[in-house]
Amino acid sequence: MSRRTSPVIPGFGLTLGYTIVYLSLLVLIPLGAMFVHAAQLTWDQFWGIITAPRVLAALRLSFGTAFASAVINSVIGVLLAWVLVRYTFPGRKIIDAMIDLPFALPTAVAGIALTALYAPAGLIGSLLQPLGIKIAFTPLGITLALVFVTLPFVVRTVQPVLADIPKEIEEAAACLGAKPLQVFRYVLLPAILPAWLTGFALAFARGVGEYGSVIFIAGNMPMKTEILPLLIMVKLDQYDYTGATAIGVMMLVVSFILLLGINLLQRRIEHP
Amino acid sequence: MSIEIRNISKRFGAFQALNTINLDIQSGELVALLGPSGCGKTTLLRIIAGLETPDNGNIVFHGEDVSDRDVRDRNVGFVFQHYALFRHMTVFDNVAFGLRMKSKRERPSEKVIAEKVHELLNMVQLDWLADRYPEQLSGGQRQRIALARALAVEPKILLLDEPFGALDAKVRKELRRWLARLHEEINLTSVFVTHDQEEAMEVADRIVVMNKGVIQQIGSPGEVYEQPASDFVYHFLGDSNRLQVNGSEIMFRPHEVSISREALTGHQPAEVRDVRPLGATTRVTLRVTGQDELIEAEVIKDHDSLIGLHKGDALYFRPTIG
Repeated sequence: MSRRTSPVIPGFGLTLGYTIVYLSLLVLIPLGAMFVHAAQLTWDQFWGIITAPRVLAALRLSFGTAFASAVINSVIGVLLAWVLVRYTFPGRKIIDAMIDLPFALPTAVAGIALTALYAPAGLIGSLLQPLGIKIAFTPLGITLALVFVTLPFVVRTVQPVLADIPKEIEEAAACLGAKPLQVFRYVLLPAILPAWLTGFALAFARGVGEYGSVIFIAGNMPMKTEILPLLIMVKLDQYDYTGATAIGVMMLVVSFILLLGINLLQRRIEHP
Repeated sequence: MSIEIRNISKRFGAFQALNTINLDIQSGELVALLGPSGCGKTTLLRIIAGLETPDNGNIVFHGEDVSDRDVRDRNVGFVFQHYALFRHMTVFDNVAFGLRMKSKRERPSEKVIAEKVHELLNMVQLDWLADRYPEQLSGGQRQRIALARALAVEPKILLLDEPFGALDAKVRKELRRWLARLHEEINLTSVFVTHDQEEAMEVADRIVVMNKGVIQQIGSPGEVYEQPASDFVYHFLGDSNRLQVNGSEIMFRPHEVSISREALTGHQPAEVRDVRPLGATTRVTLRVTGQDELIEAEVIKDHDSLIGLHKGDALYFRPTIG
């Protein structure tokens, strides 16, 4: 698939130039400016800011909940994609359309709705309270909000790949004696894995940066349920622009390293 | 292993795909299910394999009712029209798949698997492609790999669904002759589905002609061609002409005709509309006064009447049957 052949669409120079200008204006320059701003700090100052206990706690929380929600959505997302692709049932089109709703809904609305439901006095929260399970104002609640917001990613990346696998492939495997789990493990999984990882990476990245839906359900207690984006907002409120930028730079670097890792993993899968 | 098909019926919504099918297939036989698309032949094949459940009836393998048995436990090899190879696996891994999926107790060692796979790849004459991926193979090669993969688990029955349908004419011809020879060697009870009468005639021991979910005729290629049980079978098994004679209608095949440049007795006049050399034979299309349907005559290419024959010439012909 990486074979170089002469391209069908001409104008490589033009399109590359356009791409670079576009990327620069929208992505590279704003991000670069952040680095420049952060460069006002000495290394020790920078290190001091990003290793403050409160920042580290938020770092752990943000990346931990984003990772957990991405994992949950990876499982549920593949299941949803599977059901939507392989079965026809009344209301399938409606469910298919509903998958994208978390993208359309203002995240704050989602956050408030989830908080109302899962707070100790809420509809679901009041049922869980006697069982000793607290969701709102705990990392569990943050994960829940992220699961909601990032639901479409895995579904929408895996769905077309699954739809592309002819049913005959599964039938061929069954004729050869493969049990349903074996069909999934050895035939379907390798086919959907690259798309699956993409969906995971997108969900994870979005989860790390998510702000609107989380702040309502998180409770925002420093050291406990305070996420990194909120910490940046806190610094901005205190006119500590350089401090906010330093955290932003750190988030960017960590995210970049993680996404790069996922990308490399994906490459290895596609070209063994 | 013999196959008995007992009163099989299958309905898809309002569409009756199969209507009380009964068929016995002997052990070691190569049977063709022949019919136009939508006649139910593929559905029947899938029911034999266990990929589809019939509404009524039973499938019996060698005296044992397998109707309730899952496709995994029927031990049939199935070859799909579009190969259905696993894209992300090499040719070797594709063929080894069935053996590797066996439970720990039955699974042979990797060494034995490798031997078996190479043996099969040698049999389909593609051992040199073991490390390639399916997308790097031609259609004919893919179908042979699909066959090797199906045979790897040593099935008792081989089922092929339009196995040559997606290939171009020349490869198709080569491959079906090869399949017929292979069948002679391994002598596995085989059923294949086709809509191509020539293919069925060339490969099969027996042909089952189907139409609209019903079996029209079962017989050897010679029988179904020479003694068609119905008009449908007659038309489906080869080109045919319809000629109005004194208000009644007679049917004959293009080769069952005598032509002449002179008005011999019993011959009737016609106008030449087209002359097509087809190789060993030449096809002459004739127009007869009094009917719109054209008559096609196929004669050996060295026939005297063909010398200098052109469109618009007059020609006399007579069906040699009836």
